[in-house]
Amino acid sequence: MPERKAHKQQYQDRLEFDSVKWGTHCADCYPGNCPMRVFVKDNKVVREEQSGTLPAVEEGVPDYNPMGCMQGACWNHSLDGPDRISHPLKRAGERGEGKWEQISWDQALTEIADSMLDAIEEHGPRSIVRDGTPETAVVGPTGRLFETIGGFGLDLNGSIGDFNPGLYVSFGKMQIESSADEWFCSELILFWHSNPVFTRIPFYHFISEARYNGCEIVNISPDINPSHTHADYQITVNGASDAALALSMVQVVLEEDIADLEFIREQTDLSLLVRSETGRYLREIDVSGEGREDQLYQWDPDSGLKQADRGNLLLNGLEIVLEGEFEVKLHDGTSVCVKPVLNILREQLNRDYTPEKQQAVTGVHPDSVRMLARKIATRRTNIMHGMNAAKIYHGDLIERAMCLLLGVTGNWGRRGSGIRGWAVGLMDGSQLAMGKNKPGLLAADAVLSSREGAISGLQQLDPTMTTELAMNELTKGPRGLLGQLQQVPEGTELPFAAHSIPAFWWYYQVEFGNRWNTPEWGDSSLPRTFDEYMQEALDKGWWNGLDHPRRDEVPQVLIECGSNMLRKARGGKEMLLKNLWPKLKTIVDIDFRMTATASYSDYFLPAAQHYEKVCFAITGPQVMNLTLADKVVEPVCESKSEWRMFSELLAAMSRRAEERGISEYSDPEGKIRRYAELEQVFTMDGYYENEEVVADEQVRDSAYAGTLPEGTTLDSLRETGFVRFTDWGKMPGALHQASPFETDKVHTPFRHHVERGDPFPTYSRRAQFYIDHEWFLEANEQLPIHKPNPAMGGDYPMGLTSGHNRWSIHSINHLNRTVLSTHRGSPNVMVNPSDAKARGVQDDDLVRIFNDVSDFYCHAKVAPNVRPGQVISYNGWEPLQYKDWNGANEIEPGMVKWNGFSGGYGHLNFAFLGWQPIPIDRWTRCDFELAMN
Amino acid sequence: MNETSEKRQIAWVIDLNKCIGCQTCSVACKVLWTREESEKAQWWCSVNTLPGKGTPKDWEGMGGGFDDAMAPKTGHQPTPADFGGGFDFNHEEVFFGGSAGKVHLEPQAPREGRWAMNWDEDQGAGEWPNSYYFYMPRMCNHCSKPACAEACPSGAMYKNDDGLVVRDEEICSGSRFCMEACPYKKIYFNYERQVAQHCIGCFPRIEKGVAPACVRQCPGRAMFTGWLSEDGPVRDLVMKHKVALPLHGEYGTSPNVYYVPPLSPHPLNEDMSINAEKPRIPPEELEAMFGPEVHDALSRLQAEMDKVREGGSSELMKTLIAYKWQELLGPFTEDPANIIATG
Amino acid sequence: MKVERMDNEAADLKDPASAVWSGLTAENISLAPVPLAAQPTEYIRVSRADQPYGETAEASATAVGSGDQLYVRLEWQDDERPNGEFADAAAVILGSGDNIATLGSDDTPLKLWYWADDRDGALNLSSSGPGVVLKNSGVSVSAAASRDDNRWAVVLSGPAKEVSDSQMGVAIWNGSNDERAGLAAVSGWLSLDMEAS
Ligand code: SF4
Ligand code: SF4
Repeated sequence: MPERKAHKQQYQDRLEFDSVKWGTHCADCYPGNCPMRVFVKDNKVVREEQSGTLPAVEEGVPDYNPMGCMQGACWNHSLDGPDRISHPLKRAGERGEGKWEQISWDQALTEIADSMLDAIEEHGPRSIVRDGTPETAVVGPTGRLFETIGGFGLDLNGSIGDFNPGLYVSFGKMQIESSADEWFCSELILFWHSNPVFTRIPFYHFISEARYNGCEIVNISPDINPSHTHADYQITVNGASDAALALSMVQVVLEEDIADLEFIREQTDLSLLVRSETGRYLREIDVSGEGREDQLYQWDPDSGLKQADRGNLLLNGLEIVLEGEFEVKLHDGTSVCVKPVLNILREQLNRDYTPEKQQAVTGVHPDSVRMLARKIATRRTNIMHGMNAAKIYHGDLIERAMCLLLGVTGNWGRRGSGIRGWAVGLMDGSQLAMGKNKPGLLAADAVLSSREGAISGLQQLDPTMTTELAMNELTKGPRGLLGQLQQVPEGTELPFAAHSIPAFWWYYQVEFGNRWNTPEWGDSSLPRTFDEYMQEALDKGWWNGLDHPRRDEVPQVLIECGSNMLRKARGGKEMLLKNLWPKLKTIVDIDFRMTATASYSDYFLPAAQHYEKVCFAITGPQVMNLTLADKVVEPVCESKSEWRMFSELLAAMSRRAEERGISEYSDPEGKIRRYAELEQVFTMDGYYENEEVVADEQVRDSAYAGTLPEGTTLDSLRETGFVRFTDWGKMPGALHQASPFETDKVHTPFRHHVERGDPFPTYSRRAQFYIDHEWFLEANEQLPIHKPNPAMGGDYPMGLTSGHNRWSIHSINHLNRTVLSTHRGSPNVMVNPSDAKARGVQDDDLVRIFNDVSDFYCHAKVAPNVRPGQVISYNGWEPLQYKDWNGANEIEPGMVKWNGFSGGYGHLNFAFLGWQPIPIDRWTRCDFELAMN
Repeated sequence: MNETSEKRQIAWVIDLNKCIGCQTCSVACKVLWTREESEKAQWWCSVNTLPGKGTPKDWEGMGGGFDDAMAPKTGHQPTPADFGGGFDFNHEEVFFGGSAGKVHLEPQAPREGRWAMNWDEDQGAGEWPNSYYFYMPRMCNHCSKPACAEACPSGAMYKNDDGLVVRDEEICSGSRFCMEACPYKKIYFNYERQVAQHCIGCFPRIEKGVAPACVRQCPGRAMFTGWLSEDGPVRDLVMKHKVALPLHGEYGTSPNVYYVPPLSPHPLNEDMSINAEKPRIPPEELEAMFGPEVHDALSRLQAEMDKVREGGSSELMKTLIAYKWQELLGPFTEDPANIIATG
Repeated sequence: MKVERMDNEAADLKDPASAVWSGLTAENISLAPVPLAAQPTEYIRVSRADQPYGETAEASATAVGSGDQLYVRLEWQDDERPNGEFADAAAVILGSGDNIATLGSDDTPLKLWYWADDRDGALNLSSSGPGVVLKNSGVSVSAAASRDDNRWAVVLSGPAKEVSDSQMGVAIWNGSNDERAGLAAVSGWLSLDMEAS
């Protein structure tokens, strides 16, 4: 029996600590940035607690304290939990058999180095691949490792699907994010395809406080999800039918004459003219036979045909005509009829989307549609939108319809209004420090000025380009306008060359083609097969340089670092194990814990966790701070920071290359890389010896670039834990905000578009709802419409939905012992009592969920808030928590919407984290039955 | 009790219109106070979805407290099975047992009748599309008439100078009558140490001017704390605005945790139109929890909310917003990183 | 009750199954519930009014002195094993005064050599009423138990000098009836014939 101290003392002792440092959690937690105090006693982290030290940003708006969440409050239990692995391991049985041998770092790195050398020598450096991860502690080192060797990286947004195609199509960008405290300023908040009660735990209070401040909350969802709890209205909508609901509201707004016409004229393409006979925009080349293809037209009430300004959207009161049909003479002498987009839209809405008609699709009562539409038209409305619609087959249409609704009601660029995706930026030093070739500010300055040079070069090519638009071009790499510059600035092309679009990887290497070509699992209304579209996209060169690795470019080495491919892959781990795994000679998993992917790898390298290495939270507009995750204790046992690990791996490559008598190789760009120099390149000649030095350099460079206060260093951050950014800098995600930077005000995106008339990075330079790309016309998707969700997975009565869960950031906290005890301790699927009863299933019974793709087993949670016909499997459970290690993604076919491959049209072109096909899983058809144990 | 000075009483107000059921309060508490193996099934602060069976399972039917004549009522001592949880997992076997893909990670306890602190999370009641639920944290109420302390034969429990109900574990003989007598069933038993344990109101923090962990770590900013007898949001919400009510006041223990009852969106009619006449949560269910005062409290909240929506200003709404986070902490605004507790 | 002296067999005496015990004559003891009215809190008095406790009416005892130690072997019938919440327990009561039925009082606390089925060893407690106990420090007592055919046999031992007024009593708690604290069956004083101890 432990000795008892005097009764108060034993509890008073719990507050004792030896030291306290700053920490946060940057593993995928977006936006995170919660400053935590991490308490250490006897060299062990004993607890953490939110600091509560965030100053209020704006007078009259609540402060951010005490940002944090349940995972953060017990993160330390992941340091010493039973899922922590802290020694290098080598597979001792078959892959996935779960037999391991503990080996030395030296042996592990030497063997891995050898297999990487084999891969480079036999197949070139791009046969070494990595998956994307948003974990900041990993992004830097893995990115640099792969740039150093010239390996392949898969675009993050393409593999996790956290890309908003409809936002992107409408605005030419999806990195749109207000500051969280700006939610307080809304008059109407719609939770729509989001569940902030689960997903925005640290910030939800701004919403409940907004409600006390006069805002109304509307929860739009098919189930009565947890975010209904604090809503004023629950709008219950049929699954995946939201485009019809949004369009019907647009119809009401237009019909009832409560639209914001001035806003429509300036901000949107609804004022542009479309040729009636072709459905294509009227273009300068049509009218004059020369000039720009993307120079479009409006109708001036006095002077008639007018070139739509590509450089500035303000009209200064000019009432461009929005209705009517006009005749225009083309350069070849023929005459054509043109109509403003709004006119076409109105006809379409009146025909198909009256509140009465939409009810058949959405199940929403017409009165509710009208009530909501009127509220939206008269209030600063914020669509609190997440990453859910994006994962629906026609989610792009849903998102486009939402954006349209905001566009006709004047709801962006104004305090408390708008919609959001996710954005990363502000920490310019992270790019500078990685782009430079010497330590110090001078070298940072060289990178800065090379970037400035590129921007002004682009602006010379096209004087209507704002900085945002120019930087956007830069992220497209040499495939964009940058390619037309005489001299491509140093450091601007490299990261893009080694970038691959995950969809091609799935198609060529994981054999998803069969599934994608199953017509009834995709959009069966299309005139052509999936492969025909894809072939056309390739033939037209829309994805040149990005459509790798092709079928014959077989990957040899997979380095999974901070990613967990077998867990997250839509379409299931079996596809990967069956089609990809046999090709891979070596699979290296780098993590702090055992995962499904780790279990099926050849080597496991133990990584340091938060509190054991220096890194920062993801930086972006939502919090606008740089938040430090300091090294509080030494990494447990043999674990190491990724930075140390990779420098040692590269050193091992150099050593083995020398021993094997090989000296250099050339990458696909023809650049020669010398084995002996790899580590030197990675560490910038030894300067970047660990992640701490790198972090300090990044902070200093950011201060130099003007995004952090002058004099900020890693040490000064260690005093305060976080520091507020002072300017946007030039990272695309920051520039996409298109707003002034104000240190003492909440942040509303798009103010420059509205207040200054800055153009959008779209084809038409406006918020664009009419896409006259040939594929969109062919599919009748030039304007947002509602299309029924395809029967992905087969003809079954139930639909499988998902969403971020409450208990874990993706899978990272799911095995934390404390987190596991805040629920049933194992995964579940939620079903409605009527569906359960019909199948003889009771709460907590084991059920088998199945469709034409596959099946999985899980315990049922019977809950009346689930919609009849719906099966909810919240996201992120580890496969190893399921019977036979098969999770819900085993029954998802892993479809992508065909039009993700479209290109060659203004903004429909790949840029980093940008336009590309993304995986779809919501409302996969299935059924379930009681399972015999 | 000392005649000259009425003892101060710490109280909590929990705004159920702000609570999002995130379990940060419960986990913060667990990491700080009940992290030992022998305490693994203990949740001094627990958060449940209501309506539901809660923790311990069906606690509301377990008795204890006092009757109308203030005579003690017989209570049931919740069993470890009623509390549930405290799972052990088969990590070793799953990771290294050579049976990857065959054996999966799950609690190593019989599945039949299993329960846990938050077992019925998000289940709620009603029928789709009019299903309803809300979240409710519960900790020791640090009652002014603590049935637990009165039942203890050993005299181990007492109200400290701040009004917290604490137990001298040196004296506690493990007889567990407190667990029977507490009508809220917020007392656990440590079988290894053979003492009962419950929320200590973070007295070591209070002593240092630091707010309790549940309050200070609540990201929903749903919890207020402070002296009931001194000016501040707690006193205002309870006494002045009368929107914060005790849970099951009829249990007779004079609890000091107060709840702002939950509003809820309107239900739908048969034809899916909105029934603007009614809230989704049946008011009688809230009355059963918070007493008949709940109706006034809810109308007052709604009226003040409407007033602000129409451009007016409301002191109550401002209090509930708590523009500055520190307002929620009452007088306990010290930073825990600035104190080092020594005996 | 006679306390036999056996100065050479200390080790064996701790074992209730040891043959040394079978050679001795056991004394039958009757026990009665601690009176409800004496229960220390209103809660217990109210909640146990209709819930019988302390129904272990008889037990037998044998005592041996060895060196400076006193060994007491108790044996009683117990038909049901506890449900895991409360243990079967027994105590040898030492002290004097007329409040053995209430397990002592504030003025006259009694000593309890206390054994419970769910813990190793024994506790030396000071009891000043039903369930009002404190641990005594410094004096070490021990216990060992065996169970056979629904009968408990327990040997409690401690320093013989702890005995006062040459008397002892016995208390028994039936765990399967949730007995603990003052919910016990207790005997009256038995005089001890300490021989030469
Ligand atoms: S996990 Fe994320 S949200 Fe939670 S405390 Fe950490 S940083 Fe904040
Ligand atoms: S009281 Fe606060 S911390 Fe606890 S569940 Fe509610 S919102 Fe989360």
